Amino acid sequence: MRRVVINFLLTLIVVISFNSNAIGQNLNEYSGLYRLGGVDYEVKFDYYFSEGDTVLDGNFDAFHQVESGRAEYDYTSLNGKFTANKLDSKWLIKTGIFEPEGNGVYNDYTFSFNVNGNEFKAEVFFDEGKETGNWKFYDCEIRNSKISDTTLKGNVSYVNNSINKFSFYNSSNSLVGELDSGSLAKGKWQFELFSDGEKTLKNWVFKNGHLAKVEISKEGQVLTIPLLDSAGFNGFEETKELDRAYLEILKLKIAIQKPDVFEKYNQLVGHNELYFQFLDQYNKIDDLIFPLRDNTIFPEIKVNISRLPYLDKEEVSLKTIIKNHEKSGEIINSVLDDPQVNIASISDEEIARYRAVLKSIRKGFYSSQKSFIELYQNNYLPYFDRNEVVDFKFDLQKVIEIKSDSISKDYLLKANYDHLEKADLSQLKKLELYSENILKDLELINSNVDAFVSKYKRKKKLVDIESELIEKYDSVKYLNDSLITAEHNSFAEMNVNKAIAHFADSSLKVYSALTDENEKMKRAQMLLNCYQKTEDLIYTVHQSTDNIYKINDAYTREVFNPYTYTNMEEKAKPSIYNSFSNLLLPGIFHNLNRLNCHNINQYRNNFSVLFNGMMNFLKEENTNRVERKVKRADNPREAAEILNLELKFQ
Amino acid sequence: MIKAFKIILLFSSLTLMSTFIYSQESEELKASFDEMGYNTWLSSYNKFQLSEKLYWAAEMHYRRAGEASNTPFVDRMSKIYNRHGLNYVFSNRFNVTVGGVLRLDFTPDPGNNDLEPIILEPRIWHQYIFAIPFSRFMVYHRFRIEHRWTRGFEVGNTDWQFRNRWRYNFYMKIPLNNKQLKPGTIYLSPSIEAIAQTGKSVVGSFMEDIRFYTNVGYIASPRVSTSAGVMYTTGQNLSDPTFYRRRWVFRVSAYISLDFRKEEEKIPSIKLSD
Repeated sequence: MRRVVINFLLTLIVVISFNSNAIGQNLNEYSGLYRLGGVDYEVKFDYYFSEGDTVLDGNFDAFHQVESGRAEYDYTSLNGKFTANKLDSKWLIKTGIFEPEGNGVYNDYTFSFNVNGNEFKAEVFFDEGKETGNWKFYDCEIRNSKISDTTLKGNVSYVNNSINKFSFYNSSNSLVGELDSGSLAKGKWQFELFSDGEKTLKNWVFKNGHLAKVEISKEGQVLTIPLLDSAGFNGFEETKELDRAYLEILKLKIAIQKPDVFEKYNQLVGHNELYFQFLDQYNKIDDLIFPLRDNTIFPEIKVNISRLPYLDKEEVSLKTIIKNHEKSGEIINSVLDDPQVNIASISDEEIARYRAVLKSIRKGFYSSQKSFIELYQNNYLPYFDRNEVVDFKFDLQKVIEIKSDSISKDYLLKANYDHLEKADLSQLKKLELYSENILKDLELINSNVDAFVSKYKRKKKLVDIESELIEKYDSVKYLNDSLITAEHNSFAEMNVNKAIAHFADSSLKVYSALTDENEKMKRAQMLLNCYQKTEDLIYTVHQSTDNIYKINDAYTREVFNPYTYTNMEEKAKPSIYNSFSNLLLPGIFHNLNRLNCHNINQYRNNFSVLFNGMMNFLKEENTNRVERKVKRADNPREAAEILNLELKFQ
Repeated sequence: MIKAFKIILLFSSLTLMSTFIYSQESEELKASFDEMGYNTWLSSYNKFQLSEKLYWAAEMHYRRAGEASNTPFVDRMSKIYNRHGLNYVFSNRFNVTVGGVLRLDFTPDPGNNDLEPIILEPRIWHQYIFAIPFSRFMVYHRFRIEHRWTRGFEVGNTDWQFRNRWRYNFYMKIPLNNKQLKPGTIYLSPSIEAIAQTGKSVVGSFMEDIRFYTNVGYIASPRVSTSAGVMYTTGQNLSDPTFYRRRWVFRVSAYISLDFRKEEEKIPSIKLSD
């Protein structure tokens, strides 16, 4: 009996201790605030403790809402399930923005509102943390708390935790594609694009992970662009991410290999954005669930591409080209930005010619060289035959073409460019040698320009003021071009732009012909002040159209025609108004043909004197006498005298 | 039953009789036409603004007449009109004019001593114009009522007759070179006017005139317009309703409007403050 009791007690102890262990594995529920990725969520989830760690297991719901603007709210909700800390089964993810509409409805101590906004919704599936099943995502517009439009829709199917097929639709376009088990692009990716009521189909056809061809079909016409990825190219195969860099490489390949169809291809390049919009959906999901998972779900979609590593001699050439490019840039910029050279070029034809040569090199060879170097620096160049790229980007010539009205003769480069004719040199080598020779030519031009400018004893103060002067001159020209329009010319009955530009040019030309340094210092300051006044004049002329319309409006009255029984417009004090629009206004504008630094302020004041005077005449009750007299005036000076306006002419 | 039969008989008799009368009349009353007249009307229409709504309307018409048998359009003086009235503009859509006319009628047979060379015809008139704007043209309905005193040209005839004229004129003004009627606009103005008359002396000639008139006008300014056009007109003779007068009339008109108000009343004050 005693033994039985002992056995019973032992059994009881074992059962109780086992049971207490089982209670330790029991799920707890947490409900309250929880911080995910730096954002506070209201959450409710199940968990248990294991070896001191919290293990999420069971349902997980999280909601976050914050007022992001005036009566505008951001919200996010996550609903899914965990199995032993791993995302499992279906997850529903919503994020969006909404604003309430109307005054709301009060019911049961609560106000309810209809809302308008946008929502992104994703249904995703996991199998113990790994992506699986058919994922769906949508972008919806919400009006009056109901979905009014689905602006974006995506479907992705996963096989063995990798994307197998995907389709993606936005309001007017769609993309359907496929990947193999290694996430390599596979088969035919179809872009269906609608623009201006026309449908365009674009296919990327992949073979062995390589983009083998692009097919474009529009209005029944099919254009096929085969991409000879490895032709004549002893590279090795590389697997690369299908990203913007790849598409840039693709674009350049088509431009080089198929220049005749490049234009058509390039017109549709914008539609590639659809692919990146598709990837963006993953960014949205990833941002929200990354804190729950600690690794990204962003897919790495890849392609194969041939790559040819640089030969040693190519590396040398490329480095030389870069070095020469930097030096060339320094010389070109130092000469073109030198204010004394700029001023000298106005009066000296040789300096003007050198400047034109430098500008032409900067716009031509130097600019092409820069984009070639960018290909190298962005690591695009290894995917190309370098000689093909050089051929495509450069037209290496011994003569620099100068496109200028005043300088007609082209410039023959002085260095030895015989290498251009040598057939045994690669194009890259020729480019390297050309960049060296161009540098020599630039150094020669630089020394010639230096020699010319150094004829003048340069004082730092003069250099500074001339620098300021050139800046002001450029500002005057810029304001003149941008603020004085055809409308001003029409009111003025002359070309105001041309008059002001001519004044600015001729003033600078007179200055640049000066040789005495003291005189230059004195005149530079005067000219600087003068250009400041010119800027003020330009602003006044720019503003004049508003005043002209104001006067026109003020002088216009509506009159009833007792025969047609309609209202018509007529001018009050018509002879005064006519003298304004036919004589005085064109008169003060025509003054601008005779601009100089002494009269510029007077001519500018004319505008305000005239506009104020015209408004004052409207206030005067009896102007019959001047109206009769001004009717007979036939020039602006006479009209101004009759109307007693203190306007300056000549 | 007998009563009903009598009624039917009476009705049949009346119908038969009226048919007979009608056939008799249609044989007797045959329309005939006067020799085609070719006239010229030169008109000056003036309106002087007295206040915001009130205008003094002053018209002068100079009319010459002729036929194919003499000098068409200009053969002899026909009439001089002097018409005045006060025109009150209720709105752009409706206005009323009331006034008097003194018409000088010149003898239709110059040199005939049995006829007076000139007789006077005074009138009182009032008219009501409805102007209806459309997006690209204007339509007008003009109702004019004239009370006139007339007498014959015969020397010694002092028998004044009073008659009323009831006129309805439908006309349009269609701008040709602009979307709206505004200064610089050339417009086309088709018009049709029916003129009826009543009075003791009017027995069967109720339809005095029907006028079909189309003119082309030019608006030089809100205050000056001109127009020229051709009018065809026909109507019953007062003493013989079967006898129709017919005329082609070449018309030239000038329309002047002057503002007699003080200058400060003309300029909208709001403009000054801009």
